[in-house]
Amino acid sequence: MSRKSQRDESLEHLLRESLRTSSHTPAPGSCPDAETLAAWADGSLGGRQLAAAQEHVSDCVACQATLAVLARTTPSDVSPEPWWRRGLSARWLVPVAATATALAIWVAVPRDEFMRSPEPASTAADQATAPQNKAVAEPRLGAEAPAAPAADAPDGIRGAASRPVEQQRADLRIEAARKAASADSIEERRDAASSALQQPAAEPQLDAAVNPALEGARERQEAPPATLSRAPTAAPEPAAPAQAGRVGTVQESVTVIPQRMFAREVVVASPGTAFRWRIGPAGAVEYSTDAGSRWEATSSGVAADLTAGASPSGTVCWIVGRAGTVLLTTDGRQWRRLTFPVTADLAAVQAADARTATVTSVDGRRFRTMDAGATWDGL
Amino acid sequence: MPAPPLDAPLVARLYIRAKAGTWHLPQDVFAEALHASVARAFGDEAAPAGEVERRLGALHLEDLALACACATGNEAAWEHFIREQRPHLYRSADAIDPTGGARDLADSLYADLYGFPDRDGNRKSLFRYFHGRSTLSTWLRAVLAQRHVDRLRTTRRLDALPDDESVAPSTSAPDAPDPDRPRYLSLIQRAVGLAVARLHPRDRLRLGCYYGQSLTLAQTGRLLGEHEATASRNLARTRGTIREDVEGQLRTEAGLNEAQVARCFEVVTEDARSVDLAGVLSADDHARDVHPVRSTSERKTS
Repeated sequence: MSRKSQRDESLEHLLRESLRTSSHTPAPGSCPDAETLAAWADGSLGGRQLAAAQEHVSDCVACQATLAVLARTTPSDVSPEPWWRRGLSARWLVPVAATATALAIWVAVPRDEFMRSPEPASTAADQATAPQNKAVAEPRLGAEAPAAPAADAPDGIRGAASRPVEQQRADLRIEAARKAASADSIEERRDAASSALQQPAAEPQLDAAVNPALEGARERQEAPPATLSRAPTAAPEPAAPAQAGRVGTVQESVTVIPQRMFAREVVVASPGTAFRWRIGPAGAVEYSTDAGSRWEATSSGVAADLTAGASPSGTVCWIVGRAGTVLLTTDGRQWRRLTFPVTADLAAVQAADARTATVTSVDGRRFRTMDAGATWDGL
Repeated sequence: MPAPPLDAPLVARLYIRAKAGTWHLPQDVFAEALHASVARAFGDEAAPAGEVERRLGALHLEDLALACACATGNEAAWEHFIREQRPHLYRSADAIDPTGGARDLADSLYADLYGFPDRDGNRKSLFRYFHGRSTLSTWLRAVLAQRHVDRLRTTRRLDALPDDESVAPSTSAPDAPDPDRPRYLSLIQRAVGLAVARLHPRDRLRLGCYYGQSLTLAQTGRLLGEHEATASRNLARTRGTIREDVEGQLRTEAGLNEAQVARCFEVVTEDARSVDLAGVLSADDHARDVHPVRSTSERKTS
């Protein structure tokens, strides 16, 4: 051990032993009030007030002890961290996987297939389930999808060869999406979505008949990167219909990975309390006040897939989702959609309180608000 | 100069945002609370209207309205407050003292929150100290924490002093008598105290939180608004700063050679509890006036 580190260790030992038993306090009555310390702990104290408080507390053992108690009893962010985010950052995972998939498709699919128009049926189904998704997916993929709602998708733009099958599938998916959107609970939404999954899965040869090369590509896509298909909380995945609908759309296939990311249910727990929120596809949010024994549906007011949440304390909860969706509740039930500066899909949120949170998008950008979403700063 | 009265339309807007109507809170009571909050924030300074509005908009208005309603004795507000806050407060009390010792503090807090009538029969509630700058929940925890710390300090102050015989620790190790040991201990004690006192308050606060209060790096970082990895790096830099400062003092001011400096550090690990930095810090408060305050980052860049 070097001399420096030996001395640092000695110092550390000394500081630990002596500062722990210190009782040094400045002049009586000069301590900040409880609200100042609380605002500090909430992260809402700033400027001169924070500097003044820090200067005082740096010399006041009583205030340090009070802050320490506050820090120890502060509920922390315990939103479940998906294993794929622990092991490999989405920042890298998404572009790497997307590039790999695109390369695989480039090799597998004859060049003229890329020149054909995208299949609108699947796009329409996607729109019905999560309209916001396209806003993000399309610019990235360069696909021109019809803007009309699913039910109104014009027949003329569909591929003539696959029209009957695709028409039938689109109808099934639209119906499933409608059921999912109108279902009262996450389970019902999942069931509705799963039922739509059954149909395409039962007739894979039809796709192969349309384009055998694409079938190979789909197999690779639907054997999704092992990392993404085994999320810890993953249940039957409601976004699968949308994925199945991408069989004939080469460009859209690269969004399979983000779709998979979002196709999972997340339970957000309020630390030290029995409050829980269960979030899922199509804006589904359920609320439990008894640690998950009973769930009640709440109205999130959005249709986007919700991906992550964080509850810093009590009934305060932040939720993020696709297309820049950020929701906040302070009473557990009523959700307010916050204005967010970008429409990127959001993958994570860390919250310190009802005003301060940091949101991470799937492409790794981070944004922080300290005023309950009124303003956001890029980090 | 007292804060000027607030704009009525602004108060009306904030009243709606605070959902104060839920508790049938009179608007003038709410306006008074907002005014108190502004006065608290700006003191005697004349703040621009825009800044006042921004500050008011940043308040935890719903919590403020609830606190006002509770202070006025609104039953529905009290019921809501008790239902929402008591579980959190009890959990905090249990976290503070797992044996349940802090529960009585939490209970007594409710009595103070409800308030006692003064000579004129007006109820004085603890809620009057809440101005919406933090969440109600955090404020309650802060009040509870303050009371807990006050009680601990009072208890310790009243504890009987140890007998002379049990006064630990001795400044000389019985099995390895070293005639210079008390001197080295005294020198390093003073040098470290001075070095700590010269630190930037933020660095001193980080030291106090991590070493004095035994907070984790994450908790320390959260209090200082920095990531735990940054807190760790800053702690390491601060230790380096202290070490260099102490070594310098021991060499130049005490005139020790390298072996003696090394011995000083050894003495510390032999009996750190004999070093009372608190005493040194209070005795050396003037050090900050005499010596410039340097943060580790400032030192690094200089």
